[in-house]
Amino acid sequence: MEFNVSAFMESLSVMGLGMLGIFVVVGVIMGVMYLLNAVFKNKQDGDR
Amino acid sequence: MQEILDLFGNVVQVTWQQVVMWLIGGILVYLGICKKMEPSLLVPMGFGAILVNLPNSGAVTQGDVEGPIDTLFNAGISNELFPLLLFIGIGAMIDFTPLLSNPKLILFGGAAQFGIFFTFSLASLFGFELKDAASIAVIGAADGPTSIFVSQFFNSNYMGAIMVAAYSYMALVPIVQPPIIKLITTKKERLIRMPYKGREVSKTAKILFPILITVIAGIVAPSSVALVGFLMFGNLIRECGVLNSLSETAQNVLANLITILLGITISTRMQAEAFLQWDTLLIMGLGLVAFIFDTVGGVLFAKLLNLIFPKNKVNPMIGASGISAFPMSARVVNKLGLQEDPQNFLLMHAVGVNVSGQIASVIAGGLIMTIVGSMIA
Repeated sequence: MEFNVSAFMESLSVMGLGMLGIFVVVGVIMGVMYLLNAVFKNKQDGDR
Repeated sequence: MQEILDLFGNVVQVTWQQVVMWLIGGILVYLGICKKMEPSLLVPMGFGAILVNLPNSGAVTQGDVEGPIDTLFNAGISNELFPLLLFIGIGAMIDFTPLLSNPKLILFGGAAQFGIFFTFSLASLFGFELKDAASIAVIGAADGPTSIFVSQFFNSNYMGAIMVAAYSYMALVPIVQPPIIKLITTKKERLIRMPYKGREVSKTAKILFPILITVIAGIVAPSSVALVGFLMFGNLIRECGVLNSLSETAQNVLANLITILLGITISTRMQAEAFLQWDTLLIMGLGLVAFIFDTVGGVLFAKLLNLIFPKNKVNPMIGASGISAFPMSARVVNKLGLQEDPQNFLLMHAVGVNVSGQIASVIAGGLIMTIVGSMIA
């Protein structure tokens, strides 16, 4: 079995970019959720 | 005599590789029926593996004659339709309330996708082409439709092995996760209590949530619009309150119908000449690595947050539920919590993280399609 070290090194940038991308997106989604809860917190509108 | 030989001539065309695939198919059927491991997928896949590995099988394409399984494959897998339709059903099954009532849980879902990218690097190191490394990595999404979608997007050569790995490990979550969680947490950490303070979530918020998520994820990773969109469409018809019959249909009839077709159709990629390679074993190993490092990523992220916010500690085990195997992973974490402390109910937190993992895994799939797709182009 041959190891492709150059491909591995190149893939590290994908790892970094991917994880950064995920955290950016989930961070935005988290902010949206807090905003939704803040704007639509009318108890008459709630269903729990 | 010659007529008799001609009639039964197919018997002598059985190869040892096909016999091995019959055994593999039989094992999958056994695991599904007797061990109840993801029976809805493993049983059709196992039976399909036997069907497609009979000599000159009429179930698959022979020469110019297209077999019905290949017809189904072209109709629903090669165009990614079946996993998307299944996602409507899955979206209709998911209740995002535990996540909406505690939005920061989504961070754990994001962290628990680390295994995908770690496995991508490892697969690259082992010499897999970029498209195959990306397809193998998405086993770590712990989500069958996403794995199928991404591997078909990249036209991976290893779809059969990837599917078997993805669905097998999803069923093995109760076996794979607990020892990993115990290895990287201390008893003191596992005893951290997290009382659940359920916050009311308005119906309007639950309706707007799937719409907004689709827009956000779609703008960032346009390749993921179909995946996220169909998942969130299913959730919208659940939450809107005026489409209850459609929601019921999506959760039951549609999901079951697609599941029946999906498992047996995937088996066309389990023909012996494609499946019985050393790479298949390597892919099974990499799939396990993906699940392990998903768990590690989620738990270590929780431990990191405990270092940064020592006054509001979370039980790091909930990070492990960020793996998208819903709801199994949440139940595993809850069970571990109760084993350590019978008064520590982690279920609602774990479910919140678990559903966030569903969103994060789809986003991760979209990101990997976007990033690796541009590298290949």
